[in-house]
Amino acid sequence: MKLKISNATLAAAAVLSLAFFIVPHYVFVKQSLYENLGTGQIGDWIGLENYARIVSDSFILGVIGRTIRLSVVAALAALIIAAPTAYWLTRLKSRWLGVLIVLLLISSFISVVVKVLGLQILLGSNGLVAALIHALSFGRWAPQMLYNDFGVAIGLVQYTLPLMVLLLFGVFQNIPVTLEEAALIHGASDFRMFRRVLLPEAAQGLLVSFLLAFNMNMGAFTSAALLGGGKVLTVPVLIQRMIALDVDYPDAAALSVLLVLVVVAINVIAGLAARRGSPVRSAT
Amino acid sequence: MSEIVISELHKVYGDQIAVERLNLAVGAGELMVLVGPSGCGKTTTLRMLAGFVQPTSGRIAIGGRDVTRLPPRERNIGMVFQDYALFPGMTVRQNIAFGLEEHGASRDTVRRRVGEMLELIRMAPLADRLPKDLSGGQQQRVALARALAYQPSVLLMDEPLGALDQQLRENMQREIVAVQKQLGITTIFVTHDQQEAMVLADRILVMKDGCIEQLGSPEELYGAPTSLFTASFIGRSNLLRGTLCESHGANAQVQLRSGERITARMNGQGAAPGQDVVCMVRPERMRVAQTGEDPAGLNRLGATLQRHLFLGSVVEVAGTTSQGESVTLHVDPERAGDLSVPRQAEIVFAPDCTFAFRAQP
Repeated sequence: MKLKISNATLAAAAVLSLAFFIVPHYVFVKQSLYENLGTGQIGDWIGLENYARIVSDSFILGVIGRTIRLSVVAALAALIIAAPTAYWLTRLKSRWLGVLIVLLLISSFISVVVKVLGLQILLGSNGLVAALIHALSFGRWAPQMLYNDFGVAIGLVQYTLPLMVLLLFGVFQNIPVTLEEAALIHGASDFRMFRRVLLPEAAQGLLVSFLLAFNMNMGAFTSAALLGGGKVLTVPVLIQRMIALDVDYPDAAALSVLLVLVVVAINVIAGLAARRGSPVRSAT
Repeated sequence: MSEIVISELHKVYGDQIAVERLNLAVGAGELMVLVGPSGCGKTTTLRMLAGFVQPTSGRIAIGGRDVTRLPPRERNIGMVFQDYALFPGMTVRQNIAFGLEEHGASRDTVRRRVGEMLELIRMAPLADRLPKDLSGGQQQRVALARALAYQPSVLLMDEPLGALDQQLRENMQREIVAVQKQLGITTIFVTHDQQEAMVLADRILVMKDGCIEQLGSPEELYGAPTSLFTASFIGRSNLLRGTLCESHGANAQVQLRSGERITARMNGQGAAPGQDVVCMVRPERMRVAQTGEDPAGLNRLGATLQRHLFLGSVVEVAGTTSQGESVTLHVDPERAGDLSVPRQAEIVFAPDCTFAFRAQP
């Protein structure tokens, strides 16, 4: 039976969604254009002055740079782990496949806080990983894995990984196995098949899932706050501090708007670059 | 151009035997069609030849070279897939060039051979199109050209015409035979369509449950099937149940359920007197006896004729025996005679066109 939804209902839903999207954004975009008087007081309209101050503040620029760097590195690492995993899953002929997919789904629904807590136990100075490294290096190496960029990156990878595997599973599943077989039987080695057939076919999906992870990372607050232990300042952590410690709403709003703009700009640039990079290779 | 020798090829999945101790020799330049119902092992056999599936035991030799353990790319095989499997991001030209490039052909050779293949499949004007901009038949031809471009010693085709409509299918069948004969390439073609097998094959291998059911030319399979399965799988047939009375060599006397006693050939496994048998007669081997005719030496069968269908080159006459078994006759329209139905009639057919097989328990 086909569910019938009247246009009026759809319109109502659309209006409601738009309202929930636009109103808060309108409020904080507007807020970012007023002067901060301290202790939560908002002064006069000052236009883009808050933005001008932020983009000329080398400390904040440093935080933005670090956030982008961390997000790119973590998204790349997740991609490198997720792509072969997803590929392996699509080519798996086992009745366990369903179970594995459900496990992935479950793990992507687990709260970040819980995941982070697990990582804190695992990566802590008395944790399993530390003990393992300590033993394998005969006691000569005891790296600090929490409360630094490394810890945050690990947290971000764990945060995005299940979603990325699920997304790439769909991508690889849409590439028929016969394409690979056609390449192999017509003389390609596994590597050449990967380069000439699999990679071009998957490229767009790989880019999309990389961008998805990157976007999630740019906005990730919990992993950065908890695994960074206050020592790793990313844009979301900084925004939270501006609100909670400085009670500076206008600057926090301006930085938020800036974060959105930076993320959108990076996505648009990546999309355009991909379009330019992937026309049909000219005939030889 | 190389011959293929398959010896004792065996494939087991879990506790399921997919292909059982298959022995087969395909001559150089021959077009062999593997045909059978789904799950008969024809596709598994083809995939073992390609190297996508490792046999449990046995060996495969192409042109005298044992390729059983070689990866697909070292077998020098061209293959056309059921879904064509053209590389979506590559043009027609690039698709055809793929095998040549991967086999390390020089730039000049690639250009020359791709040109030749484009001529062969008459696709030169569409050389720079992407597969998605081609019709099914065109994609099929490109897939064929890609498989043949680097002059492999063997061509494998896995139900390549399954997705095409009937008209196009028949055209492509003729085209494939023409190209195959022109190049003289040893070809193994898998299909579940017996009619397609008849059109294409030099020899047909009928498979069932992982085993060879019968191997022979289309004429042999149609005219002298050695099993009930082949008889009913290849072409149309009338099946009449009965009991074996006596047999002398290949000659058998059969008592039909409908009461008549007929003479038939035991072409396959023998049967003992008293055992149930099924007699097979092709529709065009039966005719309606003229009134007053003395059909000496012919088998006779009483039937009620119920329907006439004019099919162009033949008239199909459908009737039933007194046991309710349906019989179909294909009669020359010029000699169809009395077309009134329903009517009682005597159907006659020659003993050497009547084949008796032991009934499946």
